Parts: sequence; structure tokens; C-alpha cells
Amino acid sequence: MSWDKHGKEDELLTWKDVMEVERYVYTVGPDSEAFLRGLREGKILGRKCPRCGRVYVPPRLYCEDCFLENGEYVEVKEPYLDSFTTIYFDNREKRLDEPITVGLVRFKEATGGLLAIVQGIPEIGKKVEILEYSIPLRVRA
Amino acid sequence: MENVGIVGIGWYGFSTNVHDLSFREMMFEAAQRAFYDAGGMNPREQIDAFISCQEDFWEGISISDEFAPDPVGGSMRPTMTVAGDGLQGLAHGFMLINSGVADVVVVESHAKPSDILTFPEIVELAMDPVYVREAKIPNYHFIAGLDATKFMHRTGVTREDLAEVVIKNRASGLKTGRAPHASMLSKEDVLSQEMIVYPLTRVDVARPVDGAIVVVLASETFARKFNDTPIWITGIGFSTDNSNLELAKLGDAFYLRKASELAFGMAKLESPLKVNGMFVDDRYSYKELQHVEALGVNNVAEKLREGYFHEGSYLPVNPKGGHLAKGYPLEASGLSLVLDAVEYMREGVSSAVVASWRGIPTFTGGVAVLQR
Repeated sequence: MSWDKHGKEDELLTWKDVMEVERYVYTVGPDSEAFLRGLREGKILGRKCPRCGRVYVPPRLYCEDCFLENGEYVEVKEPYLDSFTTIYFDNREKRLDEPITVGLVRFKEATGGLLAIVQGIPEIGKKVEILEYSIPLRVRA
Repeated sequence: MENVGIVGIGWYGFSTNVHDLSFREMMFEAAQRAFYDAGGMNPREQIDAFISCQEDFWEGISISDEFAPDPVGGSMRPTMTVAGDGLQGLAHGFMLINSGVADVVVVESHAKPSDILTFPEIVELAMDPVYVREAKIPNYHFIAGLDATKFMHRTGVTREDLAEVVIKNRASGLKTGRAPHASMLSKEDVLSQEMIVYPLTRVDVARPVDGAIVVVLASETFARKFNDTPIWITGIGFSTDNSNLELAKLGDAFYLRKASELAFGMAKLESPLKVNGMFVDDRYSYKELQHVEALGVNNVAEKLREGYFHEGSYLPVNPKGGHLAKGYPLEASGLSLVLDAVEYMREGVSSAVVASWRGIPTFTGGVAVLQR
């Protein structure tokens, strides 16, 4: 519309550069620090709102509903599979050597959850056993 | 409170690689077309404010909003940016006019994903660095996989239903001039594809596309100066479920339920079944059905099987092909659905609903009700 356009490859120019984003320090904050220490001890910690009782996993400094500082840390139990998927190809569409099943694990009477690599036959709502306390968790369905 | 109408719209691109123009030149091209569509208006004299919707990481330039004004006619004029989807920008334009701050506003968004050589890594940078990105899941579509599995378990939607969405949308795109991924597929073609991330195959997943879109909005007082038949935005809203994957609702587009409550309430729309067409984000096949459900349509699987959502039926969904046919132009995705809806309404129908989503890994979406 506005000028003659040129579509021949040899007349075009692209400018290649690198956008430097490789190094950054993320402050995890006191709640994630507590969570990561708990993980090392084989515990999954959540943090409870003193007003509504909602338990956040991973723990959070504040309750988003009540907008109050959350109170005590509590160890959450009874993990179950909220949903799952199996990955066959990676981001570059290269086939994985072995498919990986990934799940979102939630805990009884807590909101939130954690990503997990799932062994066994996954089912929504099925209880899981935590095999490895890491990010992601390793669980058996 | 002033009513707000769409009086001009223009686009450029919708190619997998607009190799000859930079994103700024694409913005200029789309703007020229929008101003021509709005009766040949002069953007340097007749526009009160400019809004550009963009995100730095997509642009490869930090503080990229500095580049927003001049390619759309906004040099040295009031310009703001929205770091979000174009439909959120449309809502901001609506508010400027509805509140009386401005009479004529331009909303722009664009995408040049062909310039992004590390696309998956840029997507992963949007994830929580400690709990999600650190999990190093090898395909970022896993979030869609988790969401789709839960959605299908809850609603009874099957792989065959997803295939029907793929076939419908990719074929519908063949009628438009901006659908590089349009194609005629059979059910067997779709169902025989290998899984990438369960329950999704390659053809269930829309691809990013280069494109720029410019929309001209005007108050009711000024609209007919530019266009004899404006399309009115009678309701608009946007919402975020949760910024955390773990805290958001999986299997249900809660963000669109909230956004549609706002938009439908504003438009006094009693039922989504009363509109002539729906233009919803379908960058994954299941998302079309999940989004239609979130707009208040029950039993989406049964309705799809009965042909309810096909063109010429009761409630056509994505009759211009959606993102599965066009591709999704990143933050311009919502405006691309608005563009489809405007073209569809200009063919003679009186109402449409547009529902956008900001894509993986967000839980943010917007809804607009359009009427003539």
C-alpha cells in the first residue's frame, strides 16, 4: 500500500544479535527458603491463613483472599494427582528417548500443589507416594 | 457515559514469516489500512490517544514501549502501552472513551515470532523460576496437557471431539486471506497423528504467526463521522485467575468465566446463545471447547457432535478458522479474533462474542460483546 516492496532474499537484511538473559539471581524469599529446607528434610510445607484457614502450597507470605500475613507453617499430607500429561517430544520437536509423565500433585485440605514426574499408571484423583523430595517431585501413582 | 464503536480496522501479515518488513513497518502498514477503513481519517489530527499492546521479551527489546507511538501516527501524542493481550488494550481504549477522557482512540498490537530464534525458551521465561521453570519439563505445552486432561475428564470431551474442532477450524480458514495453516483434514488424518504432549498432536496445537492489527475506536458522538455502520462494543472485561500455575484452576477457564460475567453484565446479554457467532481462542483444540463452556454454554461436547458450532448452524464458533488456521500473533491474538468478528458482522450478522486468552503459561483472558 505504502511503497514498492522487495521480496528477493538477496535484497533483504536480518540483524542477528543475542538478548542477554542468561544470568539473573532470583530472591526466593523467606517462604520458599522454608519450603526448600523442608524439602531437604523430606517434608512438604504449606502456610496457613489465620483468618480463612486456607493452606498455601508452596507456602506464601500472605493470603490472597484475606490480604493478611499468613501464620504458621504446616506439614501437608496425603498427596494425590490432580491432573497429568505424557510428553513424547521436546520443545524442538525431537522425540524423547522415553516418554515422561508429568503431574500436578495436590495435598488434602490444602490449595496449590507441586509439579511431579509420575511413575506408574496415572489417574486423576489417585493417591500418590512421594519417592523423591525435589523440584519436580518424583512420585509413584 | 459514551457508547464506544469500532469505526476502522486494518491488518498486515498473517504469514509464518513476514520477511521483508520489521515489526514497526508492519505496524505502519496495518495502521494505514485501519485509517483508510475509518473513512480515510488523518491520524495526526483526528485521534486523541494511542494504545499499543506488547511485551518486551517478544520484541527482543527492553522498554519496547518507547517504539510504540510513531508507527501508528502517535508521535508526540498521548500514547500508552498495555503489557498484555490486544483485547485488554481494547478494554483500556473503551474506558478512555466511555469515561469521556477521549473521543477517538487507536488500539494496536503486533507480533513477529519469526524473529524469535529461541521461542520455547522465551515462553519458559514467563514461568515461575523456582517451582515451574526449575522443574525443567522438556516441552512447555505440558501446561496445556495438564489442563486438557483435567478438562476432558470432567466434561467427557474425547479425542474425536478435539479432532472435529481441528477439522472445522482449519477448513474454515480456507475462506480467508490470512490463514497460512488452513487445510482440509479428515478425521483419520487428525487421529493418526502422533501425540506431542498427551492428549494433543501437532495439528491440535496452533503455531505462532507474524501479524499486526490496528483498531480505531470512537465515541457515539464521533463514530459516524468515520463510519456509517460502526460496530458497538456493548460489553467488555478481562480477568486473571491466578499468577501461579499451582493455584489456578486446571481444566476450567475460570479467567473467562469472570471476564464474561463482567462483559455480559455490561452488555445486558442474558445468554451467550443469543449471539450470531463466537470467536474464541483456540490455540489448542480443547481450548475452543473449554472457552465456549466458560462463556456459559453447557454440554459443549454434545453440542459439537450435533453440529451446533459449525458455520450455518445455531452458534458458529470460529467461522473464520480461529488460531488453528491463522496461527496466533502473540499479544495481537485477541485483536485477531476481534478482526474475524468484525469481518463476520460486516457480512450481515448483528452480534458476536470475542473471547481471548494470553496463552501459556498465563491464566488471563478477556471477553468483548460486539453488536450493530
